[in-house]
This record gives sequence, structure tokens and C-alpha cells, in this order.
Amino acid sequence: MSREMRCIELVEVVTEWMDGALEDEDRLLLEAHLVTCGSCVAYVAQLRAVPALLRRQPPHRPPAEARAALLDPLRRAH
Amino acid sequence: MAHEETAVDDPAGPDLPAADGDDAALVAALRAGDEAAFATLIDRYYATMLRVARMYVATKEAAEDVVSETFLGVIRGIDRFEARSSLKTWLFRILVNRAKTRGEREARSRPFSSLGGELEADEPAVDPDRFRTDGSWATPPSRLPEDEVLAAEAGQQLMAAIDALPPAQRTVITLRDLEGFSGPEVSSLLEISEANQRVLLHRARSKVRAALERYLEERDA
Repeated sequence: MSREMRCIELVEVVTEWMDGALEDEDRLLLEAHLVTCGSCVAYVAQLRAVPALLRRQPPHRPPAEARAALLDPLRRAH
Repeated sequence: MAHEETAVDDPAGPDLPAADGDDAALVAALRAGDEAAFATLIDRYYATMLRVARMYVATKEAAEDVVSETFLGVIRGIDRFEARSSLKTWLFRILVNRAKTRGEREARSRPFSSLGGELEADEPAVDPDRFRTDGSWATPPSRLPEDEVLAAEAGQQLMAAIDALPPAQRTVITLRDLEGFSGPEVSSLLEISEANQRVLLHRARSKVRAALERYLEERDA
């Protein structure tokens, strides 16, 4: 292989990779790097945990007063 | 009532029906003026809508007005909703339009006027001091624990980290990672290129990951 991806480079292109937007050459370099680098695997796991944890957050409902005010026009319309 | 029929499993909110999971039933209920369906929409999206609106207007009060106007727009416009997009996308499109209009009226609209700064700033994803001169990790990240307690506790830390982000980064990560919009959807909604959208997401996620790492270190200390 002509060259290898370094850890410091991987952390800058990993979002593109996760989005499937990385060019083939870089994608192959990145994936080859992950086969041998446990630290970068741990980094990617932490990064992947961000959306996974956020998607599990329950939505913050509005305060009762604001909620009632938002529902008011509907009550009047029907 | 129709409300019961809209209840589907949603990982984002255990006891709230997902508006994007079963649009048809929810839209039918909204058209019928079903209050429970409308309350579902409010409870599910209110906080996110406020956060997105804040990118365009100066105050929390103005953002609350924008959200109210958006829900009013939903009541008035639901009969014209044609399901060419998801209900969620339609809702956020109304929101962004109202927020932009309000921001322009305030003449202090910052919609992505601050974006240049957020894009151009040289922000490494990870503190360069954590790497050796050959570019390999000197202080590598620790392995992620696999426990359920992590979700609830860390979630709050991550939300705090999101609130501390610059406005455009905060908006993009909110739409992508909290609401589950795709990259193309976010770039279309905010009228920015997909590449810029991804740069903002990259910066936001890198910072929120760092907050997660700090949380894990403190927890294990």
C-alpha cells in the first residue's frame, strides 16, 4: 500500500466516513487503519455513541402553561 | 380516539407516539382537529423547534413566538399537507421559514451570518496534544462501557454540551442526531451545502464526544 492513514488524520475524516461521503481511496485507508488500531476503534465507538445516546433522550415537553397556550387555537378552531 | 392509533414504538420517546413513524394516522387525526394528536406533535417537537428557532432570532421569547406561529400554521395548513415530505420535515420547514422571517424583521438575523466563522475556524476534532509527532495516539480514548446506566446519565451531559455549541453547529447536530434528519434533509432545510452541513456536524459531534469522554473519565475516577 502506498501510504497509511494516521490516527490524527482519521479523526478529521471520520464524520464523512460515517456519512458514506468519503472518497474510495480514503475510505479504504481508513478501514485498513481500523483493522490494526484499537485506539481509533475506541474513538469511533465513542463518536457513534453520540447520536445513539441522543436519539434515546426523551423529548422535553413544554411547560404546562405554554402547552395550553399552543392548544388554545385548536380548541377555538374546532 | 385516533390518538391511540398513532402510538408506535419510538426510541426517542418511550411514551410519545412518533410523528414520523405513522404519518398517515397522525395527519388524519390532526385534520379531524384531534387535540391529543396535536398535543403529541407539541410534546414531541417543542424543545427541538425552540432550539432551531434560536438560531435565527435573538431571544428565547422570540423563538417561543416562532414556535407558536408554526403550530398555528400547522392548524391552518394541515388540510393542504400533501405528504410529499414527512410531517416532521413539513413542520420544520414551516418553522425555519417563520424563524427566518422573524429574524429578518428583527434586522438582527444571524442565520448563518455567523456561519462563516464557524466553518473557517481551525478547530481540530481532538486536541493535537493527545497525539505523538508521528500522528498516533499518545493519550488514546478509553473503551466505551456497555451499560444501560450510561444512557440516561450521559444523555444529560451531552445535551448540556450541545447547548454550549455555536448556533449553527448546535442546530445541525440537533436536527441530525436528536431528530434523525438525514444530511441531505438538513442541508435542504437550512439552505446550506451538504459539505458545509457535514463540517458543522463534524465539529459538533467531535465536541460532544469530548464531553462524553470527560463524563466517562469523571465517572470512573
